[in-house]
Amino acid sequence: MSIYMLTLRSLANRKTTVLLTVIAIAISVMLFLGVETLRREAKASFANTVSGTDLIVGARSGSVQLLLYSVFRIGNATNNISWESYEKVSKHRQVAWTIPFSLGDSHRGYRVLGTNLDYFTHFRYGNKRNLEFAEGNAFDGVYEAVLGAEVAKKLGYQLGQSIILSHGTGKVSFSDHSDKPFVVSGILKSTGTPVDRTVHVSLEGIEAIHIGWETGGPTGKLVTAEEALAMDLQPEVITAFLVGLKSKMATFQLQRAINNYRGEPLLAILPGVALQELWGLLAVAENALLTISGFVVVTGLIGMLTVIWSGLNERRREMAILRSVGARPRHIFYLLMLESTLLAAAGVLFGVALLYLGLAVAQPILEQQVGIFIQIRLLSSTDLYLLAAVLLGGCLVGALPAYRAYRLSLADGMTIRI
Amino acid sequence: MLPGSSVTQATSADLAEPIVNLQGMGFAWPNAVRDTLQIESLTIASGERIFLQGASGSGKTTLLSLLGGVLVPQRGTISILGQDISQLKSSKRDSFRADHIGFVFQMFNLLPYLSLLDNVTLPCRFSRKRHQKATQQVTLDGEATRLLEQLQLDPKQFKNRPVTDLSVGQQQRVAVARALIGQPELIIADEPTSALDADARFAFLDLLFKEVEESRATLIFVSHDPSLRTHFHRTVKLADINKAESRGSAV
Ligand SMILES: Nc1ncnc2c1ncn2[C@@H]1O[C@H](COP(=O)(O)OP(=O)(O)OP(=O)(O)O)[C@@H](O)[C@H]1O
Ligand SMILES: [Mg+2]
Repeated sequence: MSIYMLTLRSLANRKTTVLLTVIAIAISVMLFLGVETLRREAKASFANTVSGTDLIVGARSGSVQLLLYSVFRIGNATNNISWESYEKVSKHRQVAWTIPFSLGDSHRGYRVLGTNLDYFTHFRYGNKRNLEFAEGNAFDGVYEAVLGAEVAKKLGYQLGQSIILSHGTGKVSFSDHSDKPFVVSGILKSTGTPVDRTVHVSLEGIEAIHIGWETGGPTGKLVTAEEALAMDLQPEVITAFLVGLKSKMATFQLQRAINNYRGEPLLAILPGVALQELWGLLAVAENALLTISGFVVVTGLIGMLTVIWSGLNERRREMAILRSVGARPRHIFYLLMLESTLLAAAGVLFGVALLYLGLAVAQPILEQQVGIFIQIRLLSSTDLYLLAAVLLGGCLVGALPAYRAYRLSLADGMTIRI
Repeated sequence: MLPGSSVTQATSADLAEPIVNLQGMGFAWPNAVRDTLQIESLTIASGERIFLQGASGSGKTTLLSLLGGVLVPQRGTISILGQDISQLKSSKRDSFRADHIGFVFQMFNLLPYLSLLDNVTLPCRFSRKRHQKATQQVTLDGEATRLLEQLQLDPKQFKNRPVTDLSVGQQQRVAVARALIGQPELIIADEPTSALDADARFAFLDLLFKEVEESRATLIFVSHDPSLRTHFHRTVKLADINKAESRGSAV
């Protein structure tokens, strides 16, 4: 079609402005889709992290906070809970299993989780999937560790590797437990959850490295690794624990019982409910971001409108020439409509390309810094609707200068205005 | 017929079939207080070379727009090749113009984003008829090249250069090639020489006449420069035929 060709040539003749316009739209589209993708993926990532767990129990604080530090390894616990309370709950007749968590140490930026073997049998993620070993086995001795998939991959660790845990969870730690190195006994398969970024050791191991560290530093009576083995390594406190029930019916009853426990202030939460609460907290920020990025798209389209509109006057001559060779006013309208539609379409395509590029770059960073695993997928139907809306917006925006050119070309007759 | 229309009568034109025939035509621009043009009668015979003379603002370009069917008169008829174009639907008028009329403007005749050849073949994109006529013996580009060469332009020389690199005179010759391609019956030129110096002006006219003659087209040539009139078969002074109260000063 000839009009199509003319539009392409005309656009090619204005490369720089066209390119800048397309880039502006592309960046806005990338932002818009990026926010949407992050939102969705963050939710999916969070929702996948824990499944089949009925209650999470920790020291009394906010339920979102408990959820974040226990299963997402984000933030820290304010208080510990006693082993005694843990024992009490785990012996409750409705309780099928429990998994104790002891947090607070790290290895080269990765969190260390003290737990027991129940973790490897009862912990579920995603669609009720069990953890699986890629290599080796669960820890057996006190000084053995099981690595999450990413820890092993990023640090290049293999079975038998000796590692040193650090006190605290900062990236750079100055107090290492270097006197009691751990040996890697197993490496887990990748799960796409925080488990991949966790170093798992036994509760006894955690206990052993903290002998003499009661004040938070190596100030007490220190013992060697061998000496520690001979001591009583039964922990007195843990950070939190997960509970699986025999029957879901008992969930609320047990939750109430734990929350009203007299021995110490405990908090039991339902992971699903706490997640909802988290979404509720995030919704404001989420919507604000989405609205802002929506406006950025509008700004991009207005930029395009400005460019086309301001070019109209100098193109009146072009319109008169086209009219003289037989172009209809309708053709003039199409010409400009097509122009804005093409610009918007190019912006959308370029924007999608930028999005994937951005996601590829952001994926490892987000995973390491924030602990959110972004899966790079094909565009969802929501994304496609959003893109269609941008295109439609481009068409509508293009209709304005197109209509003006249409009117001008009717009004000008054969007069060539310069 | 009214006596005032006798201006158009005294030529050999009445023998031939008129290519342009205006009767009782009146036109006012939208929002204008008075008519810009009131022409009782104007006939132009096929093959004529008409010099349309008038002061600036007297309505020459307006008349050409009416002849081309870009504007429509409020009163009267405008027949081109026996077809009353003021009665046609606007889309039909546009294709009629594409098929039968070639235009040359004062300046800036070319689309800056098209190549030299594409500028010349532009009318053939809108008119199948002219496309067919142009490609009877050669390809479309071949025909454009032939026309350009006859107008003393070497298309190869400007092959990879934007048409805006051409001199004004060269651009006007390209515009003539565009007007001529596919042999439209009527060529309308709106002050095509006003941007040229005297020498270039006459050289341009010579080439234009030669080509118009060759394609046996009718030429309506607008100018306010009376020195050119001797080259034409006939001069039509707009002030003489236009009964509307003119705001332009009569020449
Ligand atoms: N698009 C337009 N809308 C309204 N009025 C117009 C338009 N074009 C021309 N006119 C008016 O119509 C009258 C005739 O203008 P036109 O352009 O036909 O004159 P012209 O004889 O071609 O002048 P010039 O020699 O300067 O080109 C002028 O008074 C002008 O103001
Ligand atoms: Mg004029």
